[in-house]
Amino acid sequence: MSTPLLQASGLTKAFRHKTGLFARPTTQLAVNSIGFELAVRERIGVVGESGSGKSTLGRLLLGLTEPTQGDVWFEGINHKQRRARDWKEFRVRTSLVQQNPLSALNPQMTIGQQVAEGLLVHRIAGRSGAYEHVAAMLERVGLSSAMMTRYPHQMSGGQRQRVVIARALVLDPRLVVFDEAVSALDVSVQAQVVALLRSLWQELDLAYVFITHDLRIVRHLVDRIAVMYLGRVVETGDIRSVYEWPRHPYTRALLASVPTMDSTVRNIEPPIKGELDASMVSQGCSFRSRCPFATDRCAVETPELRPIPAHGASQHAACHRAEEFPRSIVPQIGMVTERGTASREEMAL
Amino acid sequence: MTAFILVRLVRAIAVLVFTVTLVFIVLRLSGDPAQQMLSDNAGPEALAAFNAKWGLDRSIPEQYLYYVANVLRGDFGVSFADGREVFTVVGERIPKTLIVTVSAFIVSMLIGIPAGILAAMRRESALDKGVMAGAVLGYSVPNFLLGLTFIFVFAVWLRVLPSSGSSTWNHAILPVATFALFNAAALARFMRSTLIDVLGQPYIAAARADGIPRWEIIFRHALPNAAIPMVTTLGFVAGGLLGGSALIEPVFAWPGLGSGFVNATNTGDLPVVQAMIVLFTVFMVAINLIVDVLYAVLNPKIRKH
Repeated sequence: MSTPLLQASGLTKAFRHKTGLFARPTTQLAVNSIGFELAVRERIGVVGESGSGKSTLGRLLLGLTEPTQGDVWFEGINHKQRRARDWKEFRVRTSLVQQNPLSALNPQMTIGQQVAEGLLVHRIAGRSGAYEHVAAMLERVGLSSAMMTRYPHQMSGGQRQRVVIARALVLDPRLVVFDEAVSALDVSVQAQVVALLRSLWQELDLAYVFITHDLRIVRHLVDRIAVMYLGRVVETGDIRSVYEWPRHPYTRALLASVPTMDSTVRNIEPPIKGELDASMVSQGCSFRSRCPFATDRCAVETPELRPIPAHGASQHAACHRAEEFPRSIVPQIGMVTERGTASREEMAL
Repeated sequence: MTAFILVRLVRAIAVLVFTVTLVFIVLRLSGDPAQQMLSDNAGPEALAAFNAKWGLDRSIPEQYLYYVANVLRGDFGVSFADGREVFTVVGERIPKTLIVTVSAFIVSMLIGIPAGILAAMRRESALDKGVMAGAVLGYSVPNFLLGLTFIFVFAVWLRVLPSSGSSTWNHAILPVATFALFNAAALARFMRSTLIDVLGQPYIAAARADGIPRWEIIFRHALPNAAIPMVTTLGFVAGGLLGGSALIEPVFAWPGLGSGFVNATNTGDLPVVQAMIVLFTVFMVAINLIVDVLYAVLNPKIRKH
């Protein structure tokens, strides 16, 4: 087997905060011993509600935040062993696309300046070459090269996100981390950007880490999915098998909560109640306070992420009762395309 | 852009006219200058003669029209105190105040802005904590008290600098230092918080993820964006320097507008007080106009309209 493009092991990030002047600082694990591998050209979706630690995970993978514990390897090199020059190389070969494209762009620089900056800083192109490159990239993401002289406030939300994508891809990276990259966009614009990301992946030598809370969107963008709850991965596997037969009650509830246009499907999954409860992390299953299926065992024994035999090696879930859940009670998720809701056949990957 | 500046200019003139009018009326309604100028046992005839001499016996609207007409011709009247032209009395104090305030402004920027930038870049470090502790101290001590402390240390105790007057450049050091330290503290604090705010923006994370070097992130991305709120604060500081001169200059017996204003107010020298308030207003309005124009230059959202 070849070296994975990206690999993480035991990745943990703890944040300490003080609630008052004399209070003892409390530690919260935003990311709690996560391990995973991403192959060259593979696309993984990281889903979970806000507070699940998925954005922190993205920042850890890109080395924008120091982990409290654990390691990240990119192309076989551990982040901890990288020296200044290796970091430069890493920054060229990876990119970040963030949620709100307006704040992800510098309001004081023109589009051309921002997209060209990486090329110039890393001496990938000279001044004139860089701008030719930028023009081509802008056209590739569906913008006119005349946009180069504009400022971010002079564009629409969808155009700005295309600029952010152009800036992320102009250095020809191998890995792009998308952090809620389409969540802030209108639904019709979302569909266009998702289509763009799919076609870019087909053309370029890219791997995606797609962080989102929107289960409809990842369905059409990724090969594999990891569901996060309070800093841990509770379920992971091929997108198809997870969506067809989710084994963790949290995944099941998330999938069931996605609105569907199909009136023949009835949602019989019990809804989850309450909010993230970080006090649950220390012992037992951290989801138990909201889980309709929790037993006494769940309060004592922390479930490990383990393979579910029925799915070969692909699907893993961290639930003591993973085998007990029936298949296919979850409505199949339709995606809003530019024409409206796509039929199930159209959506098959 | 031109339209933007024209609008601001018209607004500035309107503010000026409004302030002059308001000050004129308030000064006439608060206290009797004749009583203040003449001794307490001056008889009614003396008071009446004084009022008649200076036109104070006429109605306020009438006095106002005369005043405005004269001011527009460049005539600010003569000082009640010594009969000299107000224009000369005030004019000779302007350079004195400008020397102190402009130097203090420059020095406070040279200290405060780099200190704030370094503190923001090394957040939570010993350097940051040191800078902020100094800033809080500098900002909390009233500036006249700081001035008195400086006089005590450098003039009385160490005897290295003169405590009062304005005859040599050395005389300017203590007033400038007092002003500059106080304002450098304010600037450092504001620069730090503004820069920390900007450094938390997603476009900074994007630049880091693209491998843009640290100093380039600071100078190309962060500082131009921090400059916009900073300019507003610099305007406040510049205005505060002028206002503060009324507190600081008397401490050092510095013969500028500030101490002149205090003297004129104490003696009831109405024409001088009035002219100085007009002058302060002109300065303030000019500072605000400069801030507005700079704001437009720095912000593409306004510039491109």
